Amino acid sequence: MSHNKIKIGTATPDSTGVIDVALNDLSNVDVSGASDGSALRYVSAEWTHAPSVSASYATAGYAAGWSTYTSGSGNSYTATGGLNSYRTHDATNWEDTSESVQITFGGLDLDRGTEGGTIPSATRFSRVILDEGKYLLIATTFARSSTSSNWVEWQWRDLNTNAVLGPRWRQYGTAQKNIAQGFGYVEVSAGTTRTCDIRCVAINGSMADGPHNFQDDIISAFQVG
Amino acid sequence: MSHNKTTIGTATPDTTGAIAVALNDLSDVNVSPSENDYLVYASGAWSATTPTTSTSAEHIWLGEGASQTYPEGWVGGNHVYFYASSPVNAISSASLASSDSFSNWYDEISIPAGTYLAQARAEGDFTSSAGVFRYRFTTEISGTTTTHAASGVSADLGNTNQNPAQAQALVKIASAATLRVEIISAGASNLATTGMTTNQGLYGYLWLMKVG
Repeated sequence: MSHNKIKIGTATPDSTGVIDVALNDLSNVDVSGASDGSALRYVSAEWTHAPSVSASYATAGYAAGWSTYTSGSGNSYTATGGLNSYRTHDATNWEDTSESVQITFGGLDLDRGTEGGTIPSATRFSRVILDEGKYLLIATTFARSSTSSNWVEWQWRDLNTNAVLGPRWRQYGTAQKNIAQGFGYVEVSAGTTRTCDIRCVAINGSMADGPHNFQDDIISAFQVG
Repeated sequence: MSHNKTTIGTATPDTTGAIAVALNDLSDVNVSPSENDYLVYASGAWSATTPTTSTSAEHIWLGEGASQTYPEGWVGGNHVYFYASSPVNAISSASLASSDSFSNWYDEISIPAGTYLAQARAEGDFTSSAGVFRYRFTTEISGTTTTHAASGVSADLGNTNQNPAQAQALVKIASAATLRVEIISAGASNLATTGMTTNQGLYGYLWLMKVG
């Protein structure tokens, strides 16, 4: 057999018998047109080049809690005083950390505030506790009322400094429309923590924390930086 | 010359003449890979690269809940302004602008190619409790505007049948674009063009996160 009859793809032996085979010479590879940053990717029984391999995102932390209780008139929210933070509603004991009522990751934590000056014994989340980072604050709130013209306005705030962390959102007492969504954004400096709650900043008529349906609401923080 | 003098990289024929060629024997490949590495092309050669994981997602946030009066009348076809005295812009090569040069009010975001999760809420001013309009995200590339589902609804705060809803979109653009939130003319009614309030400053926000 003569070496000069050997051919691999487009590559042939030189005078010493060495064949300089490039990736594209392989039978199941087509990387023509690759540019810097292209990656080898297996598609339809062939290795080809993909546009790029960029960094994938994985959040460093999140926390979310929600209501699982299904009925009850509840206590009224007020624009001032001890009942002014939004709270989820669950009948289980506070020590219940099962994923039926919450999920947390990355050192973030959920906590309860006071309810009329009393710390509730049931799982009722009203705060997220955040360490260093940047966070999107996400909530769906539910408030119960028997009057459609009643409303309550919420806003993400820093519990300790009262700093405003996002826009207000309003929900009415209309039966099918007393659920509303609100967002906030907060940065937490290195070596510190911030506790954030959803504050009742305005109210018209009676709006209460009694639940309506299973899993109507959520209070959560999602780390983005 | 005998076939057994043929070599491919460091691979030589065995006694049967077969050559077991490994990836690293190729002239333009240089790999010492670890588990789950990719083969990446750079500067004329292929080499192993470990995929990186970032805990930061590029994002923009406008929405301070500030008691600021909206700077212009609400008109169908106009773009919505968002107030931010300290706007958060953590997207590389992105920039914020106010097309009418209103201080701290932004209605245009220049963003690079990519895929974005976009959310916004607009809260307009109206001349009656029946006032309502819809709004949606748009992107403009070289003079061509594309609209993006889904639209949000703004209604007079006295209208208990129309709770505020937000616009949401997954925006994929092949090249740099200008992102805006447009007031949809169709169906808009009783929009206020004078006596604007702090509604948008208090309730409006825009969130943009680069996801690809």
